[in-house]
Amino acid sequence: MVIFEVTGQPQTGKYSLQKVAVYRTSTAPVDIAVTNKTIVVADLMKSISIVESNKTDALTIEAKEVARHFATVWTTAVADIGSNQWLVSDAEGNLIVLRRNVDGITEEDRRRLEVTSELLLGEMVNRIRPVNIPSTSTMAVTPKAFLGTVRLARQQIKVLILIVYRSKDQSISSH
Amino acid sequence: MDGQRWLLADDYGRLFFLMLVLDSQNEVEGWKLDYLGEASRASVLIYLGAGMTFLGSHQGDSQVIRISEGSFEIIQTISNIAPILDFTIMDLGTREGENYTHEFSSGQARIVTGSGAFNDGTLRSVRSGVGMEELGVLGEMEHITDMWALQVSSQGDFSDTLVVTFVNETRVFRFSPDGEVEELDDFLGLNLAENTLLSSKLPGGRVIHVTESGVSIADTDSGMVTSKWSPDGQTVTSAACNDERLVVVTGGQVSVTLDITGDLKVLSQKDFGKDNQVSGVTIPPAPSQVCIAAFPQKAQVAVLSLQDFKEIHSQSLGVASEAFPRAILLAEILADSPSTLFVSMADGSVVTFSYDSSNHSLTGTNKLILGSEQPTFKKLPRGDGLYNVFTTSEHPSLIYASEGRIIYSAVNSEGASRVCHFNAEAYPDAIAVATSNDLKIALVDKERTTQIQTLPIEATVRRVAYSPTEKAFGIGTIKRRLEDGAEIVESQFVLADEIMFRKLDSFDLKPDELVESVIRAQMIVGKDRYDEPIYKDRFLVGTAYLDDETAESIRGRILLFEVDSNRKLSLFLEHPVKGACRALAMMDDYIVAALIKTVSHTPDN
Repeated sequence: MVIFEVTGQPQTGKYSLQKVAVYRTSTAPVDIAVTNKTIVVADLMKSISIVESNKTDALTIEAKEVARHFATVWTTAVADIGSNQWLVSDAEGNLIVLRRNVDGITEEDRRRLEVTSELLLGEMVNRIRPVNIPSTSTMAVTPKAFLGTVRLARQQIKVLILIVYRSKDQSISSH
Repeated sequence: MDGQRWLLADDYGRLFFLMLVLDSQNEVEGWKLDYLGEASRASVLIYLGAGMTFLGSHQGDSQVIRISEGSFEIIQTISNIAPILDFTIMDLGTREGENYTHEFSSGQARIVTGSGAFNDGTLRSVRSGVGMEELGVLGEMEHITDMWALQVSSQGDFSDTLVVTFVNETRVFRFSPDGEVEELDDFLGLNLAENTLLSSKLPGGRVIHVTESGVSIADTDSGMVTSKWSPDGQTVTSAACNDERLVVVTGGQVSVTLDITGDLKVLSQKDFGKDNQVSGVTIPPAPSQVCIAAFPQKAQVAVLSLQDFKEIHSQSLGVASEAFPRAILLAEILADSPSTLFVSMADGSVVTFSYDSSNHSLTGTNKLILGSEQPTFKKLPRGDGLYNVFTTSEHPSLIYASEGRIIYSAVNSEGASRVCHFNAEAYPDAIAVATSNDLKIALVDKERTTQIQTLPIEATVRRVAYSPTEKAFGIGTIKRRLEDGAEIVESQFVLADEIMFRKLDSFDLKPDELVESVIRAQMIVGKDRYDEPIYKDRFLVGTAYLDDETAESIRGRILLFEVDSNRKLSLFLEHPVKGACRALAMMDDYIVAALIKTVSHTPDN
């Protein structure tokens, strides 16, 4: 995964990309999602890792891995759903919610992403787009993301966009 | 199709007719193959008899076709938006609710998907909501406050007169059976110089008309007013009627019941006092002994007897200084169930109760937030004695019954503020829709459906990005075609217009180069005179080279496009990268690229 900067002069109209930082994933990156200075990289085989970018000085940016999910997951898509949580889908039709324990006691605790819930959706998800709906305190269930899927082997003619909810006890269910 | 005749479909969507030629011993002697044409790429073909075939497609729309001599025609198309390779959210309705059922589905979310594969590839706009189709515009009119449909001389059940009221006047339009519209200067001698509160058809060819100065009943045969009533020195503030009784509220605090079966006759009256004013009334269908009223100061609704306005049953709507009911409406929404009472609150919410007419009780309260302005209600008949309720707050919604439950769904219409049912002979089952500056006739669906708008691309739409400022989509496509028996794969970056849903420009990638990712990048292009950054949307495209011809370490490139003032693409920069550019994202002003290196690459520096 490479971070580029756009450089060039407006006068000449010549622009180019300058590489400023590199981060190597285990196998191959299949999806990325950026929130502020945090990049979540989904690897083909090794689930997700959280990379933070810092400016070490005026000219350099450093991309440092701060947490990862230590498991084999054939990831297909990832999205940031807020509160240090990420929604990940895999090639077998599973959905998992991974959480980073920022209040962990040891550095090791904070480095490991933990699975807080999982669901077998039964369809492979190609894309997850997070959704930001302000939730009122009386809503037990708030929608967090839209998922676009490939309907496997079933000839159905319905809308294939599903909505994932995160209920107050952090579990996921789908509609 | 049968032992001798076969229908073949190939991977490119081509359909062929194969006929086996048999000799005298029923042995296959040869065959004939005829090309019929192109359809969706078939996953399954089912012959239904008489030339009709169902073509089921996983990657495109399924179709029902009829095969004829040397060709076929498509009889029916069944939409299919799968597989969804990529999608983007265009806008979300900002709906919230305190309901116990999932409320989000009533929102106006619009999603644009890249669906289908190769020749069946399309860009689809998917929206869930109650559709409204405009049939015609009557004219520009501002600030319509209410409308009613009346029947004066038309046949059957058709309405032919539309009464439209404004703050200071009322206008009446007559519709002929073939759709010609004429404004009437005089209508049955009724008072049109004021705002109208209620205008309704009564049995016996009569019309009742309530304005703030009083009530009139007119006869359509004679074309004259036959009976009038005015309150003493007060203005009428609310009114509701059924076929037999009219309830009006005058000065906001005195409620009066009138018999309207013949000439107007006051039956009962009660002054509730200025501390207990009535903001709205509604009355169940005739015969009824009661009416229902809303009291904003006490934050209550109450079922009142028509004879003496004594309170039979009441329900609280919340804290007296916080909950302000405004309008109320009783409607039969659910089949075989009690009617539902809808109360519109000043804070933009709707409180509902179930009204049991046998014991006049109001039970089962439910509250839903529709917007931030007090909603208005209008009943729209749906047949068999049931109704849907059209409500408007900032946005219009439809309340209807489905599978025994009451559903609230957004209506896909811009700016509808007042409606009324208008089943005219020229426009059967239509509604009249008023926006803030015009009056239209439209058809509204009876329930929420999924509306899909399709732009055929005839290439796989692999990636979709949307720019709200450019009002356009950037899509990465992959086209596959046969040339002299060889499969050629071509990839393009296409710019498509959001509103008309059509192609604006395209950029061809190199042969054997595939688009891998497309995102919208919001970039700073300078500063304005307040030193605030100026943003411009550009499209970032990441690609992968499939061939081995380019230098070993270059496996793809990143392209940055701008949309110029003619809405054409201009290449802002291009940068080769040492891996297939699988995903892209923006981090402030930096570009983050996910590159996949092939196994046989040289270690880079």
